[in-house]
Amino acid sequence: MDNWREGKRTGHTHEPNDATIQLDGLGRQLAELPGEPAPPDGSDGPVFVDESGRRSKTFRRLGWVLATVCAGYAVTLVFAVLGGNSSAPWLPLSGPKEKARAEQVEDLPEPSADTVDDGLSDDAPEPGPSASGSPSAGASGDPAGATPSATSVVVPAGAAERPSASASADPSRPAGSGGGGGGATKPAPTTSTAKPPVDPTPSPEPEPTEPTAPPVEDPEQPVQEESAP
Amino acid sequence: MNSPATRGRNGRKKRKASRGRSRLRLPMRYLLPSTLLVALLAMLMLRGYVHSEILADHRVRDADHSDQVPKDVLAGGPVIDARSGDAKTLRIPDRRIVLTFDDGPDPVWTPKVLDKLKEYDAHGVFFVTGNMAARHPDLVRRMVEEGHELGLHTFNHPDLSYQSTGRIDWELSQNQLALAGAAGIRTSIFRPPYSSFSDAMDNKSWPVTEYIGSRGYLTVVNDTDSEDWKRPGVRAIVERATPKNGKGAIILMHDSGGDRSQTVAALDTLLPDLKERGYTFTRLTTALDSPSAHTPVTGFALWKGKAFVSAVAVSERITGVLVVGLAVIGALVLARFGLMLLLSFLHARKVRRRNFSWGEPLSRPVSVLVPAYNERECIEATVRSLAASEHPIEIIVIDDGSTDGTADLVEAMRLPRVRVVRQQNAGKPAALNNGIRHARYDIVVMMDGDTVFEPATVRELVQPFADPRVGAVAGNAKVGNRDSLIGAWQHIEYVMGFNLDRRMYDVLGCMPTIPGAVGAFRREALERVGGMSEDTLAEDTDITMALHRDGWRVVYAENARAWTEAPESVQQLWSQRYRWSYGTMQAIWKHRRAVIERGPSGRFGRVGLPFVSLFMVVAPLLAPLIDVFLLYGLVFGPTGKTVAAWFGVLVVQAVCAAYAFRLDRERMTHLLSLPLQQILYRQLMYVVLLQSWITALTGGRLRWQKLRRTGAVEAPGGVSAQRRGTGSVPERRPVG
Repeated sequence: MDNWREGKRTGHTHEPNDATIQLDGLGRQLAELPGEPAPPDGSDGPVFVDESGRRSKTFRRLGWVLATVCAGYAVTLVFAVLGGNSSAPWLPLSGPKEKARAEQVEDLPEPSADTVDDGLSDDAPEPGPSASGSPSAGASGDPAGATPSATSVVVPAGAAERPSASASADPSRPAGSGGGGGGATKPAPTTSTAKPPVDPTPSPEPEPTEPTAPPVEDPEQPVQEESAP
Repeated sequence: MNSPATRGRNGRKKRKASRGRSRLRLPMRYLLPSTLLVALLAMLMLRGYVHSEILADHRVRDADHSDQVPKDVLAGGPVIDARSGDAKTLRIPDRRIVLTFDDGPDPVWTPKVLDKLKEYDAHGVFFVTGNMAARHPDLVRRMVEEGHELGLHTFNHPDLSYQSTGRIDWELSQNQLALAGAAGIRTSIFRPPYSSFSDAMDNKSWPVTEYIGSRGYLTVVNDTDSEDWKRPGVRAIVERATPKNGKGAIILMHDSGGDRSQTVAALDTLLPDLKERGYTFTRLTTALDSPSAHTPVTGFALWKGKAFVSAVAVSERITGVLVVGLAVIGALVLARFGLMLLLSFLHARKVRRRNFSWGEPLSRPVSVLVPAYNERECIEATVRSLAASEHPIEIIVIDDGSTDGTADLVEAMRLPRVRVVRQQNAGKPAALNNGIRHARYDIVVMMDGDTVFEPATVRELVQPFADPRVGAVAGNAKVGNRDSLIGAWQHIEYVMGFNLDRRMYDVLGCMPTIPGAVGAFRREALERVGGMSEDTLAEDTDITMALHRDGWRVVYAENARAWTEAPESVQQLWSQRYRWSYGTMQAIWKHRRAVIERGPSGRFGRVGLPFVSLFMVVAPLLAPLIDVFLLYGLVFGPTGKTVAAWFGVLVVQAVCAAYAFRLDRERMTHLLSLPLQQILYRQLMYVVLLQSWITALTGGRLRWQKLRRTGAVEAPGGVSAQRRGTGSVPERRPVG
């Protein structure tokens, strides 16, 4: 300590003419009081301070995790929102009245694999009602599809039978319109997902509109099937 | 010694060493809050995006001429195939109905519609908007599972004829992204927003349809409009939706966008009736005998969709919680303002009553303690101001191991009532305890080495001790250097804090701290609680809380003015406030047991501690949110309302500040810097608080950083003349 006054005692004033003796409240001479301040009693040390650093390490780890999560969130979001593909998978449209009867036969045999569309089974009834005019008939058709319903993927209804392949095949394929194109472009005609072969019934009739069409369900079209992108 | 006050010549060296050590720590301390802020901003923007606040376009075009639309289309069916150059249309075959629902999914109405469709075993097509699909992916999944078909309806429902092809692409791809994430499919059918019949195509909407077709979509409008969105009544809806003569139809209905109860009720009639007449309700592609419009999505695209939908869910939940939290805190803060105004008014009225008195006027001498560490610039002014005091006092200057000769300076002044006590450097609490030991009288006034008293200060300060229940008195600290911007902000803060907060705390009996610059204590009370403690950096707060717990009253003496020098630079202000907020947190935590104790300690613990904790330590943590929401509202949201709300809060603060200034008879001109204070000063305060929290949580050590004294403060009148006489103190020059 920079004490340039040698021999100075603490607690003592420097009035050279001061004849009085300083006393504290209890009558003790101030000069005799200890100059060292004593620490207060009962203190546990500074609040919050953790000398071992353990808490610091834990929180640092936590902090890194949190920071990574937040950064990851922001980055993911940016990627998801920017860019993207706006095109639609090709949907072959045959139009309702274009199918020729003949096709129905053709389609039958292929066991194809795919997809069954849960919902489709429902539609099966369509032909029915039109034919017989009894809506209920159709309704019963449901189960046909087997369709597990849903499971998540809704498959392109593809006609049950489709052999994949070949696609090329069947000139008879009605799908006509899209047909060629479809095969070429998008989704390969092969089945994208293997689906349990559906249709038990399959039945042959693709023909929906014909009034004569049997009520059997006929969910799918022989048309090309959509596969997954 | 465990003292956090490691000042002294080692201070600078230590600071350098610690900076080297702390360089590693620095990034996390600022990195984490920054990344949190970025994530929060992203969440807010995402929320705005899916709630159609950001990037939404609500314009709708009027009808135009249709000379450029192919005649086949105008006269054709409701399904428009413009995918190849040659546009064709298709109609729905007889006896088939395609029910289409636009703008869904809606959390209230879509489930009801789905239930009805299931009940009557019907299927339909839902043209879903991307933003609703992202918010309710479960409903989209249900639609697919129950066999319905999904079509695109854009993400945010803008009128596409106003949009560029880039925007159209974006709407489509985002819509597909939402569907991929919600149900794992991609669809090939599309319905433009604000669509009508095929013959309503005009020169503005046709190019859009062509473009959409070129992207591979079928555009599906309708040919039977139920007009259910107008809510014309169930019977009207059913009538308009019924096709004539057994023809096939695409019926337009809505499952979102308002009260759709009539739609649901209409389905209840429409479905069974038409079924009985031989109609079937099918998907669009089934009606057209085509494969499904859905394609499964796998791989990266699926992952991207799911990530997007989960991000939306997270954002919705978190921003919802934050908005609620902010509203609650906002209400509490406003209530506090109201309480403050009321209680300040009551306190001022009580103490200014003509016949008000604390008891017998107190005239016995008191001890004044002045702990000083390297206060060479200011100590003379301080001691001289004390020497001019009207009340009999003894002045004890405790020199805490100064290295600049502070003690010698005081002794050289040779003032009669002044004593200098020297000690080795041990920190302010130890210095004060030392002073208490040396004090002769039973009332002890504590001040800082750079504070300047007025002649009447001590007398005003000690009068309340006439009431035997009073254990401590807080004076009225004033900012002397109030003409700089930063000084003015602190001036406003002090005036409001002393006139509003302290009066309120006095009435409620829970004053958290006696200012170190001007406070008085009953010696007996100090000894009962064990003197000043070094456990916290805010020993003044600590001792005050201890006194409360011991049952003493702590009051505010408005006329005991003391002039202090507020920090003038941001760094100094930062360290001062860091110490204060960290120290307050330490003191609250140290006295937390008071919450469960009985008696006066319990009263303080259950009323005072929570009050102080909430408003000084918890609520300010949410203050950054206010700024985030403010920024968001300015840029994206309802700008007018945001600005109005901000101004509303500013007005409330201005009113409170003006009342505080009036109570203290201060000039209102300094209030002009109030708006700026809300923009800059507030931020500094909550960043400091955040850093205090981090330090408290991680258990790090803080250094007591010393304010640089410039000796620029003087009490009005009186003392300054004497000071200029000595001429030894330089004005406003920082210490070397």
